[in-house]
Amino acid sequence: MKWMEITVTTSQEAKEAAADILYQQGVNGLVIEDSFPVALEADVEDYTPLPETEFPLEEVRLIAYLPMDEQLASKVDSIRQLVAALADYGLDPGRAEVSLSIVEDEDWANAWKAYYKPIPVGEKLLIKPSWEQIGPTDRLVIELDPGMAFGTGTHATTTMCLEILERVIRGGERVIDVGCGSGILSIAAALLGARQVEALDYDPVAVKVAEENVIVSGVQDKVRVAQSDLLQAATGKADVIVANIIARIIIQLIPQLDAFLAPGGLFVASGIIGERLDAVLAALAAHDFEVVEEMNESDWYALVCRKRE
Amino acid sequence: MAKKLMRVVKLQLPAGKATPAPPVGPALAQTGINMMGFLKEFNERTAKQMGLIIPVEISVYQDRSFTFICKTPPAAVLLKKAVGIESGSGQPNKVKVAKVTRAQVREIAETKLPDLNATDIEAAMRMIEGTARSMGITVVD
Repeated sequence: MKWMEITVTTSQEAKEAAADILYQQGVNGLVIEDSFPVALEADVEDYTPLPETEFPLEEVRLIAYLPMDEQLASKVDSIRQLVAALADYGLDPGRAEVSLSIVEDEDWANAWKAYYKPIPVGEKLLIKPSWEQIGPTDRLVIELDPGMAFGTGTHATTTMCLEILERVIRGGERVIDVGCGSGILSIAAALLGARQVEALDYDPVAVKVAEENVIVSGVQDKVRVAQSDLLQAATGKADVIVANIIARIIIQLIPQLDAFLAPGGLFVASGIIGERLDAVLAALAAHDFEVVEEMNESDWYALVCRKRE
Repeated sequence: MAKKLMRVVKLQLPAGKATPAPPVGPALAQTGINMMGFLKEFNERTAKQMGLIIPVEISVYQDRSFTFICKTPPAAVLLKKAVGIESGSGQPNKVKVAKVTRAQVREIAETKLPDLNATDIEAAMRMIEGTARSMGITVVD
């Protein structure tokens, strides 16, 4: 099946009217392209600027699709006529252009899976999307279904944490993972030999995704997933506390560590962008933590810290 | 983990029953996010608004995770609801199908103001009035 992609270029003022013209012809939704700024979530600490838009702020492009059938020609005619007439209703429709292009039907539902392949991390771990088949391996396999929650293992902050866990988990430890996201670090800790893991996240979506991933990886006997504001829902002391979040949250977490870190225990902090490193180091120093290892990749920092004796 | 925003995709989709067919497929396939995961979540969150079109802004992060925010329904949908009609006129210059008062226009403009690229309520009202007229709805005092 083929689709006709219909692009209406108009003004911000006329976009609602132009959108309705498209809906009248039976389109099943729209893509809206403009440079009108979007509301960013409060916890977006660092972001890559959006690509330069090639049209001015007052312009908008509405993109809709209709199936290529015998009614298409008359529908497109109606769209052209109604868009051209928008000025008659007291609106400035801007360019009021209608352009067409043919789009082949594809397996859109599964196209995103091409972005996820099994990836080895460090010396011992392998992250495998659950739909991928792999041959026999000596590595410990973390099965993950990427969802809305963070932590697909492809980001430097996560891979650094995984490499640190490989070194610090020797077997039998109790671990708390603050801001567990997809649960990747908790699963890794359990596979590496931790005795017990608490995977905590503030976001209920992450809790749900982490619970599913823990089961898929077969570590549900060792990993307890819970919704928690930082360490609020943690139970008991841990030999390792890992937090792969952002600098601002790590700074909030540091004063809570004493209550939950066993004597001689390690605090692993990641998700720290270069420009916030000093602020995190200052907070650590203020609470008597020393940095015993520092990792750095693509301007992201991961720290292994221990309480001063 | 810190979020690095890769791009924002703006869509309008039918509440509760969005599918991978266009426009979702072509718009989201290139972002690499779990499309079925998005659709499931969107349809769950908007199930109560079934029958309406809901604008949604999807933030796609560098690790291909995502978040999304649902916005108020399009102005045309709010206008149809306000005046009690199913659809606008096919010949809006000739056939008028309903009347909307300026007070109703103001109310819709106030609802939509945060989502419109309008600097003030008057600009938003002009936009809603123009949309009404383009649908064959007469604006009256």
